[in-house]
Amino acid sequence: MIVQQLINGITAGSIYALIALGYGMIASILEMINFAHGDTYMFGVFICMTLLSHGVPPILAIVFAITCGCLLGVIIERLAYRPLRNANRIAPMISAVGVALILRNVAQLIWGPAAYSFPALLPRTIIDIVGVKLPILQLYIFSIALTLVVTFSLILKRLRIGWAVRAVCQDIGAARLVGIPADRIITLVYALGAGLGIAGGILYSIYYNAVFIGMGFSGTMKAFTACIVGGLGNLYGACLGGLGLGIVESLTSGFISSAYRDAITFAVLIIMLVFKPSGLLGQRVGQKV
Amino acid sequence: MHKKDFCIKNVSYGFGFVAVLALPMLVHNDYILRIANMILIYMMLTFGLNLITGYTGQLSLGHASFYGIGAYTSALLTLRLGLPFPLALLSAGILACIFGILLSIPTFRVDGDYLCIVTIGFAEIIRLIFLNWMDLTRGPMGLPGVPPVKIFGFVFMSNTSYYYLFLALATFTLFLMVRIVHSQIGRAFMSIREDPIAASAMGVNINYYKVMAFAIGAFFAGIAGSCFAHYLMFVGPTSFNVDASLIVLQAVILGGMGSIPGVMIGTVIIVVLPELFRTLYMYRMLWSGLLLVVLMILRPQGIMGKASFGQIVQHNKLFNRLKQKNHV
Repeated sequence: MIVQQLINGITAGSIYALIALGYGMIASILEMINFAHGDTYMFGVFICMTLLSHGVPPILAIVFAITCGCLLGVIIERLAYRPLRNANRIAPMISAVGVALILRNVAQLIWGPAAYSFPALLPRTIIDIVGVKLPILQLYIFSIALTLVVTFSLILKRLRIGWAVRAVCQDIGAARLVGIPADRIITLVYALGAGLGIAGGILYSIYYNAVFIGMGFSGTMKAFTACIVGGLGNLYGACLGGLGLGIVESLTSGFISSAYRDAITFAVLIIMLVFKPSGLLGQRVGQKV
Repeated sequence: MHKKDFCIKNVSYGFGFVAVLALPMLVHNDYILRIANMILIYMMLTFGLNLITGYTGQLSLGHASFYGIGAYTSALLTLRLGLPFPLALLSAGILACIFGILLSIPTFRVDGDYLCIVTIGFAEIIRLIFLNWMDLTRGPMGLPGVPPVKIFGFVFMSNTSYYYLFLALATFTLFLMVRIVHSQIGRAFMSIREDPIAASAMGVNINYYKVMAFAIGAFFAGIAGSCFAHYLMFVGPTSFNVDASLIVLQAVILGGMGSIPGVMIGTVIIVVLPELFRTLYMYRMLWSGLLLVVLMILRPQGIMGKASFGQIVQHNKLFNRLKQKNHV
């Protein structure tokens, strides 16, 4: 039982890690809470589902959905966040809340408030390893998520573009001084973040076999919780936070009550923010007067 | 202030007050009175949030949960225990106040956008409890048949009678808010909003005043919730989600944070506009999202705001310009 729940938790956690990675990058560059992150990927997943139900081949549908999501991320950044980049931190956050509301309601106008089932893209057979039933679906999801996370961190570490992103993360002004086009890098980060989010969202929909409007808001909160648990600004921390959150959640729904699964997320979030806002892996930054 | 200005101000306030008092006699339309009643209930909510967010600068998206706690407390006390309305009203306010004090504890450690997330988390936990504690709240089915307000044998049945009840409560709230804001407490609140570090250096006990702001704001939200429950005669968990908190916050931001007349105007606009465009009702949250984005970019201080996130920006810009000058 506990092994089963752990496997479920790790699967869900790897998806959260993927979503939190894109979220954490935006948060660490602009110190901004992107409330529209979850709603952006909800939109992308809905596009993917619509294409799939019209008989478009899966690979094409997924690529198209991710491209759409990247574009959406760029447009949102240009219209709603860039004008507020130099403002107090709260103004862009409220603007992001507005964007999230817009996305959610446009999606509701197009697709309606009902939940849809997502086409089964991955096999659902179950294999038996020493008494533990391991659905092959979970294995697939975990390995896809892991591959994406590793690829992404390799890009950040090894490629020139990754260096530029990390430089902008550390100091926008200094990055500009050494000739990095900071605005373009920030746009790129928004696009990548949205793309990773959609990849995570599609995996989530395959795993739970459902697409619904509310997945955006809950995804935002989960990504944020994962980032806070791991330490905002630390991308490994975000991934570990995502995994941990998934495990805690599945243990809660397995042993306490599935009705309070989301409440646990929020409780973890509040406890972390109040007692250790720098996260498990983050370093504490002093307040400047 | 000029004597003439003072006269004009008082006369216009007088006329306004008479017009508000006479509204049910001038308008015999139940639909319009219903909207007026909702405006009055919302006003108690926005006054409270204005104290927390507008004056003290603590961004809270959990106001609807105090509203919900008040509504459920009052409904359960009158339904299950048969308590009279005045007692239920008071206990709704007090219980909401206790939860307000609880929510203010994280503000000792976090502020700004992180605090906003904490309040969302708190609101969601409260909503999940409303939704899942079947024995107490009947979950998604809600509590129907909340008895109408009854004070000393007089049963409130018509919209007009409710109008005067809510008007009395809202006016009391308004009076208290004006007194608080113009007192030493109000100045302490504003000093925390402008610069918490400087305020504490000047001897303002920041944590004490933060707790006070949350306690007062939550108390009136609880009162508003009790009014809402008895007026609609039904309480359900969907009325108290994050969207409801957003509507209250929107009224405060639109009207202007830290301006009581501004917040009153904001509340009227936020409640009346969706009713005016009834055909566009399904787009209500859509344009309210749009409104937030446009407000933040073009006019962050709202209609009559004295303080805003935008003003802090202007300070920073000025500061940067000064810094540059000194360097050159």
